Amino acid sequence: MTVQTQRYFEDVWPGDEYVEEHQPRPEDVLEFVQINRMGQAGRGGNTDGRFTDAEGARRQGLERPIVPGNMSMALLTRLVTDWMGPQGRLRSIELSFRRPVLHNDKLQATALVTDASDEDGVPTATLDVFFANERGERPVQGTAVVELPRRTAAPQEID
Amino acid sequence: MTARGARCQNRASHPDRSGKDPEITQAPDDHPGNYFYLDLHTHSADGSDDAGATVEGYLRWITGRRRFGYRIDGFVLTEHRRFDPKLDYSRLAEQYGVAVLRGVEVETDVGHVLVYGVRDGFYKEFDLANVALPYRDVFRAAREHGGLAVGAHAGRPRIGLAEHVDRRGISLDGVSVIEALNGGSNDSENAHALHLAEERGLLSVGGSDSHFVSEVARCLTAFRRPAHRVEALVEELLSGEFRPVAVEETHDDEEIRERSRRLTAARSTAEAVHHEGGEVEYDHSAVGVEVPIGTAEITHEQIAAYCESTGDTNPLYLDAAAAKAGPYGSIVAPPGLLQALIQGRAPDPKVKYGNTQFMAGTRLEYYAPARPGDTITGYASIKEVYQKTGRSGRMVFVVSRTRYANQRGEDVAAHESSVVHRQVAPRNG
Repeated sequence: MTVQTQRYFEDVWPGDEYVEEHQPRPEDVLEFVQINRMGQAGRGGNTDGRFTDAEGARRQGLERPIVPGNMSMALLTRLVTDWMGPQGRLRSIELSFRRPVLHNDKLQATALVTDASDEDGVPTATLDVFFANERGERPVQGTAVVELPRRTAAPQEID
Repeated sequence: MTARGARCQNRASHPDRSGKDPEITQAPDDHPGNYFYLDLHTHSADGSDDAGATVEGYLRWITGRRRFGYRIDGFVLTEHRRFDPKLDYSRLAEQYGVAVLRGVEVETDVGHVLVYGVRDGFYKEFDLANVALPYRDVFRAAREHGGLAVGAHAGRPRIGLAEHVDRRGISLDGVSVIEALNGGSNDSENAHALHLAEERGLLSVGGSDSHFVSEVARCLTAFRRPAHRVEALVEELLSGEFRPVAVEETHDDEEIRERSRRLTAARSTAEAVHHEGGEVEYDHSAVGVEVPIGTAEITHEQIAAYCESTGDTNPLYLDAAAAKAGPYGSIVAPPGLLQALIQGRAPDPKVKYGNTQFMAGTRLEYYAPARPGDTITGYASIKEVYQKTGRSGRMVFVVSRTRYANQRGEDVAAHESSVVHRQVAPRNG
């Protein structure tokens, strides 16, 4: 369920955490792969089955089918947009895929504020974002930069 | 600019310890105040292709952690395959009261190796871009040039020493220290490294292997004496008086330290595979050429289907009335939709390596919203091709960049993607 609480710059502190739980099921992955195929103009995309079937995954040296990188990106992007609320603006998100995310992995998606500043007058928060799985690994991790509204208007300078 | 970290002080009772000497003489022998804590393994965006952290980001984060009672004295930047002598962090280090030292993480035929405190001659002797440097030469030359080499994340498959010892029986002559507590390794891998250290009488250090800000100093090395310069670090490593610690073990609160000590680990069961280096072969003419890769019209139906697959119920994407009252004045597409809809490829650099490809990293920048009815065109180019080694063996990376422009020619987003080419063996069963 998407949270739609507005986050304001004044309320954001380094060390603040926001967590969502995910467990991508095979049917979720299949649906996501279908959406992706809309954009592949008949190229068929990845047909080796690594995302959708056990045998295809084994051929690729994988224990189980994996969650596509684009889907991990989508879930962590959603984490950030949920965290910031409708008035926030996602400026960038950068992810590093370090280990496979497998179907049915229990994932704790975390957004952790590492910095908050109003450099150049734009209230901005920097977050580390990552999945942690039940094996104690962070298979996907990265950084997001968002602009946040102020609860009150910025103070005006007096000449 | 207003840095917000300073206001964190109100949220904890622990004093800011920067600039204060711990009361060594009054503390019991194992008290955290008796040690100097360095994270010996970190990466930054200044020098590592897969890192997102800035050095100042690390410094701000450490300042915040100190206010919560953690004793973190500094860190060593060990960028992948690169040492830029021109970089100087001394001003930042002084500003934040945190030691910032520099080394390098090189790649050898037995995995990755951290190198500290070597003179220029070391960098003249080795091509750091080589991903299969002869490990015996690296360990020997590090000492000859006044420094010390340490086996990085020693328990990790393929890129750590332990597996090469187990499966290939390599000699550990010249190896005296390994990283047995690594923040990027799982418990099993760290246990494997610790076992190697105990079995072969090697000394152990700890490092976070951080690539992003909040990872720094999760694992550290506790030294008996301060090491504010890399020469002092080498002296301390040669003294043998140090041990790896998790950050919780640096805390003033004994209960937090005890909880950390109770963490247990299991043995690794990883299988070894020998890997080889060599030049990566590809079509260099494909690099830097931008081509159109596809056009898509954004529709409400696509947005709804995308949101369904990710469980997103954000009204900015789905509810016309709520979106009208929102910041954009109408429904907008979720940020990731453009990458899903337009997936053509940049010119093929025809990499001659591997039998499969996986996504290794991705970066998205958003400049303006895309709305239903917009026609978006993607333009892609290859940015670079390079190689390195990881736990899965040799890897060749192809980095591409795609920009997305709307029907008015305005760029609405850009997407940088790194795809790794690997050689994999099928799994049995």
